[in-house]
Amino acid sequence: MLRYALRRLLHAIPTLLVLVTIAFFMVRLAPGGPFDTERALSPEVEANLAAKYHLDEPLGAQYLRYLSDLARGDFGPSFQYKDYSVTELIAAGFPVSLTLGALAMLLAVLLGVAAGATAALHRGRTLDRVLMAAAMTGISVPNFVLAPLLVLGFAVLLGWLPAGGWTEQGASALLLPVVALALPQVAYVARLTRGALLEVLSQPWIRTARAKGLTEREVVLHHALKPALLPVVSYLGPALAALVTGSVVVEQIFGIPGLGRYFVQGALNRDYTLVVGVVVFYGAIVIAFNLVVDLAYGWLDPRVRLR
Amino acid sequence: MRAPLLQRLLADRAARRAALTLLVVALAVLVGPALSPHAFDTMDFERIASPPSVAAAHWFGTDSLGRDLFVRTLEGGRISLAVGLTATLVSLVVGVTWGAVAGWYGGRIDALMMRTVDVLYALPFMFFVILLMVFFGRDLTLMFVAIGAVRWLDMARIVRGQTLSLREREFVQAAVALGASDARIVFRHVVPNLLGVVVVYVTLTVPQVILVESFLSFLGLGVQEPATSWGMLVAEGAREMESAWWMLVFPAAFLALTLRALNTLGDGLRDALDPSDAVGEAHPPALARGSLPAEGGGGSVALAASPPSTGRGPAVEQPGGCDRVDAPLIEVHDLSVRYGARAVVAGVSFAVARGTTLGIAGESGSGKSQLLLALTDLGGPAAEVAGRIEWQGATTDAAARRALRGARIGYVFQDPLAALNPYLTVGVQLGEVLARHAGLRGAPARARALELLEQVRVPDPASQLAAYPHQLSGGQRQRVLIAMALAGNPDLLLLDEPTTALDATVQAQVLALLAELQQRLGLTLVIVSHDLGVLAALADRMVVMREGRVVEAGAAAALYAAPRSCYARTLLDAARRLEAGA
Repeated sequence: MLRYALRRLLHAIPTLLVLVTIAFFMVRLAPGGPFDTERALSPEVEANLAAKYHLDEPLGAQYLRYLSDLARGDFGPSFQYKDYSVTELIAAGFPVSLTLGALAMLLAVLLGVAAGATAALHRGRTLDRVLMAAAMTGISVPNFVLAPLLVLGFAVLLGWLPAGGWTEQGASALLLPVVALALPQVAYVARLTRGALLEVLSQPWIRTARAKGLTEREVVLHHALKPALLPVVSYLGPALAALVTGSVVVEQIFGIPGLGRYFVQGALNRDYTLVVGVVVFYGAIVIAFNLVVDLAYGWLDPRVRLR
Repeated sequence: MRAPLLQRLLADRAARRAALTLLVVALAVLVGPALSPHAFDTMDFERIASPPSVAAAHWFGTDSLGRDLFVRTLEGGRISLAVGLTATLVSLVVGVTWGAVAGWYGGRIDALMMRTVDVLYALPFMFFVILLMVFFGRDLTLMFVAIGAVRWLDMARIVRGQTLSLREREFVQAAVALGASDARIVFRHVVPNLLGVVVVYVTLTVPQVILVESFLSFLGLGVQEPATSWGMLVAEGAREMESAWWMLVFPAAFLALTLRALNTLGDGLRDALDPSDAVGEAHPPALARGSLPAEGGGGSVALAASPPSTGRGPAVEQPGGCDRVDAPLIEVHDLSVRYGARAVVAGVSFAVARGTTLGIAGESGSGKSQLLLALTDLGGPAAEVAGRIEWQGATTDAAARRALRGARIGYVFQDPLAALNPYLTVGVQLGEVLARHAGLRGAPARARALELLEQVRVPDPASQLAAYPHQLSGGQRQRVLIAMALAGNPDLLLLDEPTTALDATVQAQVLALLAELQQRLGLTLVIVSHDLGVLAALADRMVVMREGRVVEAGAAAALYAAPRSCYARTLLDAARRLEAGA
């Protein structure tokens, strides 16, 4: 297990490095720089600024400096918000996005597993067909279509829930964004759970469990559910990536002051350092989360754990 | 293979409907705009954001610049579908080439290429696409490349796996022997054989690509005005939805409908390619071979010259008359098992006296395992069981047979590795039987579990309780399985090929253990095997089955000395020849 963990850790390093390298060269290659203003600067000022931001150094040195800055959590200054560093903006937006994402992840797993298991245990019957048709719709309706439709239905037409905002309306403001973010993932997890549970239930050892005289409930809960959840566990990594991507539009639509909204604003305003900072930050989180998920998977599957 | 694939696909109602939907959408997108008197970019400031109206020929209403939404939605569809198809093509070319090259050359090249895929896989690609669009402007070509570059990874993985297995196939080897160049082999022989898998993934990639395009357009990074796409229209609709719901609803409906149809079609294609996991499959996996002819006449061809006294008709062969057993523990009358139209057991009768051993012999597919499953109703919902099964003289229904499981009838399956849950320790799997049938939990359960493992001669039982099945040897696994079957203190033990998965020495040990346990615990055994040697060691009485029917039954000693049916003689001769040869 320890060796497995170390190997996975080693594999994460090149991934992170590729991420950072792409980020570095994207900022460098992007047209325009941090001091492009309407007025042309005098050569002296420009040289001073370049020296200040180390733009006069060779590219290799700049790259190393960028790496060491990143290692210390310094993403550089924001182009657009002159008084803030990208690190400060991330620190402001991330807690909000984390709340939204964690709730959506929780909803996706709980509701998805419940719906998928129910469908599997009613295989071929009406309930199964209804749930799977709903799941098929769920994976086909993207967040950015679902979110405005939910607002139209529950906020504009019915008036039950606020159409946006964050803290001022309390928990009710969370409901629509979390649902809009989670539903496609709920549907995906449900399909995954159903398939995995059916697969597990066809295993010979399930027949052994039945032959032992266990109740069907015991067979499903003690013998089938854990192995059926392993594919769901390994899907959590991609699910997080999907939630991060989805949060970009959901935060935009509901006016939530999270990292995704900063990202869109940054993208539209050509705030290169902010955009790249967010990508590196989220990329590192996704990579780290994948690592944790892989380790959890190895721990859950005794055949991997004890190798 | 293509024709049956299409047939299977068309038999799937959801897939059929999805294909029809796609056809309608494609047709609407192509000819729809011509049906309207309006152009997609003509602004009508008299009718800004006006609701759907037939009179004005604005069937979906107009947008905030007074442009006709019907035409714009269909025009947007053109772009969305075109982007979807083109970018999928990009990902197809990159993915298939990458995967085929990695799979074909294997070794270090493969390792390096797939490691690259792994690294790229872990990156949040959507963000890079957004970065590309931000930094280098909204350019349709760039968008195709960017999206295609995101979506080729799955394709590469699948194609590589398929190529690896194709590489070993005869026709590819033949091409190698003929001296064809690598590129020629890969693209002429390997890639065409990947067609099925690739078609499925193309179908599933198109909706994902459309999704990415819509996502970018929604963020204002995609298609540029006055051109439009579904994602852009949804974004505009979302801004105006409080005053003009139609601006959101129509494009959203088109987008969702198309994506759903594509996903459904892809699902259907995948199921059609891989019929093994189609829903509603009626037969158990164990029945791959040997279904029965509806009439019993088919079995006599190979075996000529049977003595007139024995015949082979079921009426003569039934053990009821000459083969009576006093006060049987279990008695089976005219038992039949069917899976749909397929009969696997047909009119079998036998009885087993307490404390004795019945051996059921027959080749694979003879229905002997299915017979055993039926005794405790383990054949699954698809198995139709007819006939009568008596337990201690009382006729049982399915529920009563299920109630016997574990408590009165212990079951030992073949292939102990597959029969034990790989995710639970031996102790847990043993403990749940004790909890269920003996009411034991905690320390007393542990003590009893240790006792059971000692009884079946598992060495070092205390540490084996904490072990997982894959950590045990084959013989130990079989002993654990026997201990589990004994844990509920059953009267009867059903053993399905209990030694087939074991090597010869371990086989002998397990058989000796079974004989000893039977003596000590007064067990009744029913053993199913294709190996007459195994049965000879234990059985008091024998039943020989073929194609679901009993061809001979009687005392084991008599059967081994003087088999009456041709079939039993053939089996015996075969067994003796094997022994002599070995």
